[in-house]
Amino acid sequence: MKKTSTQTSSICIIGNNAKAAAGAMALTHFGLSVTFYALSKSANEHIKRYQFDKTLCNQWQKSLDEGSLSYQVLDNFLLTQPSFDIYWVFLDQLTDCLQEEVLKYIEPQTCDVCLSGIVQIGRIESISKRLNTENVFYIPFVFLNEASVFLATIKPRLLLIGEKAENTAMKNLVCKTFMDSTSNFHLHTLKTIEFTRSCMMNLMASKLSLINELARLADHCSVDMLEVETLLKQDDRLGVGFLKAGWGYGGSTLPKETKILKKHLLGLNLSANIVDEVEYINSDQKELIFRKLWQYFDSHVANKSVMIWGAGYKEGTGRTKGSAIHAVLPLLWGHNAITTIYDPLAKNELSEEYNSDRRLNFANSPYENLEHIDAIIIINWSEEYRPDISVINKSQTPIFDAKNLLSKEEIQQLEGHYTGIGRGIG
Amino acid sequence: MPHWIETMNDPTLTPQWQKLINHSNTIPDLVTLFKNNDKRTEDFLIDFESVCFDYSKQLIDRATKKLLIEFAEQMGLKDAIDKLVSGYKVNTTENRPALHTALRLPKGASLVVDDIDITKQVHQSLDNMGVIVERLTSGLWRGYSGKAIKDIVNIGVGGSDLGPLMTCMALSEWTGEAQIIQKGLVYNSIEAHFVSNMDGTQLDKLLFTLNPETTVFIISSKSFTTSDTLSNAKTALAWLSNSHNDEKSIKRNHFIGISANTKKMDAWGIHKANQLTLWDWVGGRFSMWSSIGLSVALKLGMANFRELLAGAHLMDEHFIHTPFADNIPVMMGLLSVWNSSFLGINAQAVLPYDGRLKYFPNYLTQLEMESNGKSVNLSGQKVAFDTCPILWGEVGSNAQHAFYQLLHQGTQNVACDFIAFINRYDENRQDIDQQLLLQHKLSLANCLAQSRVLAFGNVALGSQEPCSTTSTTHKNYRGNQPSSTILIDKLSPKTLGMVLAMYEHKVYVMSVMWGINPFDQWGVEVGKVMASQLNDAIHQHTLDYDDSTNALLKRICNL
Repeated sequence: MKKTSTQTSSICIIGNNAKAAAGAMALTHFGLSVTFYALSKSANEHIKRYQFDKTLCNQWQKSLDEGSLSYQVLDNFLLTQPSFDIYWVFLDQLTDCLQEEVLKYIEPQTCDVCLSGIVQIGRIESISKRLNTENVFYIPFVFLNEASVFLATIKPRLLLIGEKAENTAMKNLVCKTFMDSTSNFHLHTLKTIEFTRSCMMNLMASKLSLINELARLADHCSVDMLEVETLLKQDDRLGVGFLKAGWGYGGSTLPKETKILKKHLLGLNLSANIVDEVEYINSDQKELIFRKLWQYFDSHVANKSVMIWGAGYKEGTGRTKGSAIHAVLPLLWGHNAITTIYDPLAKNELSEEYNSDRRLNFANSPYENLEHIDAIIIINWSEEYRPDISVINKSQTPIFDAKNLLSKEEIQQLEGHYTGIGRGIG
Repeated sequence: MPHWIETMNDPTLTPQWQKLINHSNTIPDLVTLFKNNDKRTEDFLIDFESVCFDYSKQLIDRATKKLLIEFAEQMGLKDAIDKLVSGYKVNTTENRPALHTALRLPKGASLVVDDIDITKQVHQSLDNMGVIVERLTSGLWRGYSGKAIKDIVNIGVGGSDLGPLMTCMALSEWTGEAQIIQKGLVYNSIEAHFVSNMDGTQLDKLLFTLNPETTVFIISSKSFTTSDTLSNAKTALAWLSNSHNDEKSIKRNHFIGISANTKKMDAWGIHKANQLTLWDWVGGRFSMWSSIGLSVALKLGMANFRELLAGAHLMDEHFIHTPFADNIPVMMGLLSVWNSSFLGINAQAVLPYDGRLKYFPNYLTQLEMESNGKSVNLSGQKVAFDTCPILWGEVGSNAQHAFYQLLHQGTQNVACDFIAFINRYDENRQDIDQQLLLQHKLSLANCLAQSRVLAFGNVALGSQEPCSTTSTTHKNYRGNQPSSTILIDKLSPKTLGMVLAMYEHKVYVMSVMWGINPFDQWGVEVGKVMASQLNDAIHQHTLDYDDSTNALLKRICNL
């Protein structure tokens, strides 16, 4: 529930990613005012990047209209050096140089400093030591799930806060606001929270990659991983998330977590075999669906028309960073296949990413021209409705489901070929 | 018989031949030669680009050099070089040119032979190679299961094996790091393996380490009839078929053929798009510059392969245009002829002081001995002098603990080629490279030390006499073993290309001086024919041979 606040501290947020925008919007949602510094030229231009997250965009517009959000270009911060009671700095997607300039400015002040971001374990503690203030807090975004980043932020499932000095978070307006919004919060030292964040994310990545490795066996054993997933979820020792086989994980959080953990381990001459293998499986998993298509057509992929459903790295997003689309598209193009993509959310980002490559075609409907399509690859599905099997059956187009989107019942209704990731068929 | 052969004199009939024989009896030992002329490197050292050829420790003086150059002129060497590079049919027994120099001509250069634009053909072939290299290294080329290729196995023998193997090993540091070549496609280096043995030993061992889904075999055979190669290819096919029972798919996705015989490639089942061709005018041991070098290009990347060609072309230009006295390959060839035919030194050791050149002596063994291991001249007459010396070698520091004893204190006269690189390892790095740098310098010191002791024996160690007559005779070092030292700034695709072309041309110079054809190998062919007969004998249990062969056949066939 939204709260009203009689704000006592001025809040400045510095960050250039969705998490920073979501953090700011959560605060305005709770009735606080914030000044937001990012790299985009204007507030409108900045929020365009997250247009797929409708609740975030709505809150952004509302905050601008109400005056609780003031958007500034980061250059202005460095030029004018404004003074705030609380600085919340999102380190991700700020260059080392920018981070350094911002921290150098904050360093001598007696303000409160909140930090967020995925950095090597120990980096947050090291930053806190150089800051004059004792009121330094680390708020990792460990609570995100498949839903909107904004919705996840206003009601965190699990809130971890690292403190430089014990029992100080409750006195910080930002920390207190989030602690008031969940009963599941935990305070600890900065380094413990940093380490816990890394453990959580790498466990998720490892778990998912192990599931994906097992999914390859499932194909040979005529076992459906969706059914296995349902059973695995009954075992509360395993947890219910990250059990779904598919093309792996994308986005920026998990890949960055595994990458920096590996670098950290190797830097200390420690073994990084498991993380290494997790990265390998996840990378290999992204092209697995292409290989299934390759086998289906007995390596004759040239001139085949392939429809791709979805491009985002997760449902409901237009962000494609780390998505399997970036593994599949170049392979299809390299083998002279003709591709059509259906993903209204990701259309702009893909056009920008591939510089409007002439081979990049978009469809307005997932069923457009299906009678002339040789295969459908499913990377993601952000529609509110299920795919219409009866429409697909008209053309009997073979389906290569990298997301394991279709249920067993839907697969049984299909008249054409189906193959997924560890579905025991195809 | 082509007209130019008729004009080629029997070398023994030239005035210089007899003069050289007479002169060889007057040559003192190396200690004396250095005493008589303490600035020998002014006369007997050539610098070209980053290659320094020091032949001052050869058993020659100024008169020798003059006589050898006159001898070369009398044998029409200049004309013979022109004929070689212009596409004349210098391979007389097979009536075809030997145009390996054309394989490294830069784009835009012109060479028309029999109305065919050779340069255009060569560059078309290089472009075809480039396409295959990019498809494999970018991960676009897929095996039957759709997985990207990680290993290639070059199946070939002789020239289809030794050159590519040696180059891949020598230049393994030039393997490109993984880099993004276009969105989603990453340039990855591919592991190259080489299989040549007929008995299957190499293949059997290798296949255990490879994944059939991610392995491509390159069948390299100019004729595509070489039994060694085809028997290995057949085993590879069986291995792949064991994993995926669809021969058509296997051949389309896992085999590349390189040959001058497209019909044979078709018949074997090499997919048209996977065929790379070469031409009759490319001799096997001179073929690494052609599509036979595909494994090299895959291992090093196409850009480095082109650098290799550029280096070789640089040496070609030097060979064609430089006066004999300053021409490295010419002087190398003349010295080899001098040693073999006039000084009676019939052994040649090749001693690289660099582990990266481990396979270089093997490569040279074929290049020199298969080319010039001949006893009949271009007119079909038996020659009356020694031709190609027996050549062998090893990485210098290993050889020191193997056969240097014979070089220092044995009874055989051996000419040596020392090869070393001045620079290696990064001096600015603070880690283990500093220690490696010291090892490199130690290796250079050993190279110089060995050539000194071989040349000057006891005198190099401080004695006044070349060979002591005191009681410590077992500690005598006789010296007077001639050597050349090839010192190169550093090893790179370009400098290796230069060195290989340098030796190729040396071989040609020797052949011209002896009046023999270096481009055929009938001695190899005879073995193939006899092996075919005996293979039948083993299967059919026939005993129609000499007593020794029959006795051995009986045991093999358990008769």
